Amino acid sequence: MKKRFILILFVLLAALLLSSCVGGSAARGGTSWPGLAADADNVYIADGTYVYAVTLADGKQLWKFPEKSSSSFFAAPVLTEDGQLLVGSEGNDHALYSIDPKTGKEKWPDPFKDAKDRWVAPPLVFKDTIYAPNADGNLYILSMDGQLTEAVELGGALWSAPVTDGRYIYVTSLDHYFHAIDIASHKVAKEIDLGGAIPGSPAVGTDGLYVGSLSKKLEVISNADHRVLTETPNWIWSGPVLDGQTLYYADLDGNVYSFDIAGEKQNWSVKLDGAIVASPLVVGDQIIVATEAGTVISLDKDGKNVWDRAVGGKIYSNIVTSGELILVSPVSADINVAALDLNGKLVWSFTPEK
Amino acid sequence: MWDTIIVHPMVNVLILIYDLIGNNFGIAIILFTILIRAITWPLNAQQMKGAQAMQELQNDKAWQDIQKKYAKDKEKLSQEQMRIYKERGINPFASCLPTLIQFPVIIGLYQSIIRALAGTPLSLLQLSRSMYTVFPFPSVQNIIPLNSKFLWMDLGRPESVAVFGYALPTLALVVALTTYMQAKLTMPASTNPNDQSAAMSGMMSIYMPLLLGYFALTFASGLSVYFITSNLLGIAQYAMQGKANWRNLLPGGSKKPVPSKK
Repeated sequence: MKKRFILILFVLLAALLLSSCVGGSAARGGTSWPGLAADADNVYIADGTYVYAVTLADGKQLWKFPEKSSSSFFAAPVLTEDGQLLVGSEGNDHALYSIDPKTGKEKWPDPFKDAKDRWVAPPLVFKDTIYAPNADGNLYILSMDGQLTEAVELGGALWSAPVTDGRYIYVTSLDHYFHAIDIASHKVAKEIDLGGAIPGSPAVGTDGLYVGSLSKKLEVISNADHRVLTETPNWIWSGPVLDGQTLYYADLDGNVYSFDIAGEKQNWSVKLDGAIVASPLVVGDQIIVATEAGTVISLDKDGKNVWDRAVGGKIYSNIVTSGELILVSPVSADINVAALDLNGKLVWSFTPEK
Repeated sequence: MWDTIIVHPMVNVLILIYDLIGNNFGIAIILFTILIRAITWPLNAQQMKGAQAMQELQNDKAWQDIQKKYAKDKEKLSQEQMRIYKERGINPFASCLPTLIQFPVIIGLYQSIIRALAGTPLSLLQLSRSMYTVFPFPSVQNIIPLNSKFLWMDLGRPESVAVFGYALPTLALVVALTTYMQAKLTMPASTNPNDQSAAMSGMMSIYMPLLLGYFALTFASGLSVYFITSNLLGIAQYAMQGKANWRNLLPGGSKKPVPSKK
């Protein structure tokens, strides 16, 4: 009898281990990949199984969506000019929601559920049209009330936010391809194999697009050709950021680079305290970078450290700014959002209400 | 520690097999399962031997005598049982070892499948830190993303087939069925109503299919491919050694002993 009891206990323990430690679905906190968006009054965080609205003034929770958790959010929310907050979920129904940023209530009668896989990429809204890339390899083109106009099959898992120069929508894929889709016809105008998965968005410049990839290369794509500008020792996860003639980008070894696109030469690089997943953010004269070590670092445009602030956990989320605040969302931390001022001082932190 | 010893080797071997066979993750899991079964073959053989020895002991006269004689003195009974184990060279826990080995393998394999398929940003990030950079392991940036499609399944997600508008979890049913078959086929026949070993085996033949069926229902279908392959290989191993008790699959068949091949 004792042996039987021990055996049942062991089996139950194994079941518990399998379901809790490893995360049965991505709905577990261990796989959380938060994303942020901010307007003048609030910051919106898609984190774990909820989207939260938090006031910028004092870091208080305004609302959370949905009322009852169902599936995780991996994609950063996106604010639209007509007052929507768009966010796609990871769950089995792969819903893309439109939420009222003021109330946290759904705006569309039903979420868009035609996608066959999870949403990792935030959508792009351009001229009253939603361009939503999904991990099923389709770029879903929707009207602003969530009605499907067309699905453009691109292939691979689409994890990065599309960008546009007004004529084309540019989408990158984990299947190594860069795609240009004609806005007028919705036809694929260009496809280029960059030799590595591309989880980050391109940066749009006047002479071309700049893309980093897991092939450890930074490339420029122009109308005529595409070529490698420089190589890095580790993966370039996030998209580069263009500030005038200078491109800022980072790699998983923790290096931040400044690259002069006119002279096609590297200005400087600095190594920080952990892998860098999120794109750098240029705020005035500062370049804000967040590392996997849980540190937010401000560099000046010569690469010198201005300040750094340990917020704890691991920072993978995009960095956003609103007014005088810099906002990040760490995982595996006691807090879900840290709001820093432009001198790196913690103004408030947010932890969801129970 | 767990990652270094269990998950990283599994991820790398899975991806190496995937690369060698032309980018089919389903076949890679099947071949990986065969590899795991080959490595644990001696343990399984030991389990079969141990289970049979325990079974024979239940019908042994000396064993039955001490059960009666010391029925009211548990301590003495335990001492006598240990004496008999020692005399006969039986390790009473030998039959448990492969089961104990099975669970770390299942948990590690599940983590490896999720990590290798890199269906989420975090698992892709973890994959970048899991891959060996020495020959013959492939360069991870060239090989990702892995093709997660196998037959009708997405190996990184739970499986179901739409039948008349209902999602039928076919793999979970096959996992439960093959687990039940394996448990029944390997259950020695017993005529002794007080046979604790047979009672426990009978109980396991009910609990294990339910448990693994639940895992198959809930977790990535790649794990179900492992379960089914492992079960079929287990049945084949028992059959090849002449130990499979096919009568157990019939109603009331477990009461009839099967002649064992020595």
